[in-house]
Amino acid sequence: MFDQLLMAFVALATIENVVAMFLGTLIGILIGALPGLTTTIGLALLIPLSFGLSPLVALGLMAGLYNGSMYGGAIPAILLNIPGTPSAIATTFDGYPMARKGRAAEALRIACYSSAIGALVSALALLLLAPPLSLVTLAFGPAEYFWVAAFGLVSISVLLGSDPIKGLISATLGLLIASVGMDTLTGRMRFTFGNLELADGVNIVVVLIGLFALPRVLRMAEEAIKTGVSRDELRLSGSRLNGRALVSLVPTWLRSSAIGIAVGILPGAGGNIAAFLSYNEAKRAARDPESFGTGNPRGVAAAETGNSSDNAASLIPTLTLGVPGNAIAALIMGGLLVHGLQPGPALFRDNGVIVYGFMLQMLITSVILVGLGGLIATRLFAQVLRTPQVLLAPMIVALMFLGLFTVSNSSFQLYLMIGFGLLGYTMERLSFPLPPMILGVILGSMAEQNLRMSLMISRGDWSYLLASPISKLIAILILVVLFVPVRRAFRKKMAMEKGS
Amino acid sequence: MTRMTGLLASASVLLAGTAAFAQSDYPSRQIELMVGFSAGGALDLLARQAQPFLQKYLDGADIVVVNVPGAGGAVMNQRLANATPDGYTLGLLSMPGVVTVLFGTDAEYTIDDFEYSGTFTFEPHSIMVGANTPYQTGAELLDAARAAPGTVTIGGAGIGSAAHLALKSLELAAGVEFNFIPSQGAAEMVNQVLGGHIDGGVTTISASYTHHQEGQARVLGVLASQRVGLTPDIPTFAEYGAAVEWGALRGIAAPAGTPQEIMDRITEAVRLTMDDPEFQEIAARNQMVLDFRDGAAFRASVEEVYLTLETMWADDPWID
Repeated sequence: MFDQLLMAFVALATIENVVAMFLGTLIGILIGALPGLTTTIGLALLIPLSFGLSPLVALGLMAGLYNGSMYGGAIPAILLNIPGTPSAIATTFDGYPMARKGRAAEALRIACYSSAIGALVSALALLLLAPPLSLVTLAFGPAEYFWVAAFGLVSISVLLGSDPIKGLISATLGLLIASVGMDTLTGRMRFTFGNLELADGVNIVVVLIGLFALPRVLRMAEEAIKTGVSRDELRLSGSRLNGRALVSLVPTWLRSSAIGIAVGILPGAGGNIAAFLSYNEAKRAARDPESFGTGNPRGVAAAETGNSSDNAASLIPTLTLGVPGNAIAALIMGGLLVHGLQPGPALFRDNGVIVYGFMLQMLITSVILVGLGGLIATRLFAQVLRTPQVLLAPMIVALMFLGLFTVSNSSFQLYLMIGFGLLGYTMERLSFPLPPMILGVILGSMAEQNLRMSLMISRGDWSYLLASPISKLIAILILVVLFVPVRRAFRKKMAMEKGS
Repeated sequence: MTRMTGLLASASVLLAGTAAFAQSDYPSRQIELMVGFSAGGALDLLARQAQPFLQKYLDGADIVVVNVPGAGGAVMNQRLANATPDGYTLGLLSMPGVVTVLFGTDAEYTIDDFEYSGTFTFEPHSIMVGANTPYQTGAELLDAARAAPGTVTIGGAGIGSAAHLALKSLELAAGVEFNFIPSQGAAEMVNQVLGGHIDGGVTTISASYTHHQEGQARVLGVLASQRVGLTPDIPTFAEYGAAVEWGALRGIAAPAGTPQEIMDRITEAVRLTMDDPEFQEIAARNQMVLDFRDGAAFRASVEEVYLTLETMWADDPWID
């Protein structure tokens, strides 16, 4: 392996490969930063273009795009409260409050460093631990996935906001939306109203842009008379991130990287789930959980490390087993296939230089991210805040529609997005929190499908759900997560009664 | 009556005139080749790899690949059925997907809404089982399913999908019953088979064969009348006494009413593409099982599958 790694490193040291990685990362940051364009879309647009390129150049572009877009999504999340990709939702929780307090540049820099560290740790896991980790992937069947989804749903409790009832209503709405579309387990159409375009369910990107971007744009339009943030308020260079502040983020980085890698190797789960879980764990572990949501740098760090450390890890099952775990991994597999590279054990045997080269590219682009994102893009993008809202709002709307139409070629999806926009605006006005709804959409069908699939395999025997040690472990974790706050509240109450 | 005939006659002359006009300079503008799946999928890659060759053999025509994903390709199929039949809107159809969605879903087209042109690939479905399962041959698998009906778990893309109906046809032909586990797609199924969560799965031979070569799983047989050239070591289920022919046939179609001359030109372009050594090399790299059939043969396969499914549906509908 080591000599192949060395050969791969030499193979990468060409002008074209270096340019490809830089260009890929830059395109990734841009795609991530534009609401409506996501990692999946970027890769899908890139693959046809990569036919004529040599495999390593094409893969370098893809590696850069993947890592870059995970940070890119944080830019509008922090500056505008609009997540650029589904994975950046958790970044808005503390990133936007930081920007409101004039700490936009600091938040962007933390997001950039966190993304880079997450991506770096993840790439190391891919390089060093891919074969053993792929065995973990295989150990997860429908029963285990059901518990993973349930664990995610339980974590909604952390996001409920000040009014739990409204939070639960929002989450339930999300679950309801997740039930739209063809039920693959019976072939029946659910809530599609005879419309074929709803057969695959509601696309997460449609919900995301509708719920997060449109209401925000409407708000901007309402406040259009005001201009952007003034130069003094922005404090681009003033907010120095000193060494001590960075050191204090190290535990968060480590914890979130581990979570991101764990989520990454599980097919079906993606960067958005990794970000939510890391955010929750950071909040749970903090001594000051109440400061989360008000602009805590650790919240930004947790979310961004989480979604980026999912990246390279999610390629482990794809590269080692030939089984793509999510839409992004499937696209990268497509990118390998067009060059005649069949992912799986044979790839390591026959094309070691390319597969190790690709892993190295995932590693190198995470470092490039610091340079491109931290030094250039952050300065550039923070200027967005100074753009008058009269200009910014229509620009965002145009980008949203363009991005969505590029992938779907369907005006129905645009109307659907507008519909969700109005729903999001109404909910926001009535102070219903939106994140529980998105989590409901993401996890609802995962929980449902895997539960029913488990019961089909076991022919109706519910004990199958707890048959494996992994299932038992996650189920216990869920109980812990649910009961620790209850116990803490109970103790607090006891202590208060004792005191009085 | 005479007036009526006269009108009809002049109308047909007019139509023939425009058709002739349309063909003589076809293609004179951009041709849209729709694909019913997102960019990056198997069908999209086929379209994009064939596109430069089709352009070359249609006198340098400008062909763009347009992704119209949704409902397993049915959104595109429906849009194609309703498009103007002038040869400038084409679709890359995937059979049996184009037929299977006509049963029990909201699809509102029929197989007669298309003119069929040449095909590119035919990939038979195959049955794979996990490396740790006791089944060494197709005969053993069928025997086990016969001995204890509904206990052998076989996964595959959802109910009503090509994979599901492939298994159903095998069940009917062999007189056995499996426990079909519908998954979100072939990749999820493969993961479950490799991890030993289910006994086996059904998917096209090109998707299962690499796992067989790696020893991660065993492909027990293909649902075809004869062995596939690329995989000569894999027996057919016909050899085990269950004669079933099921596979993914991919070719070009146009809306019904597209002039025959235009269809012939497209079919010729597909044939020349398939004969091009450069395209054959690309196909081999991507493990595509090339199979050229002309429009009539493509239509015949579609009609045959439709009739088979119609009988199966009348007997035991799989979506209630």
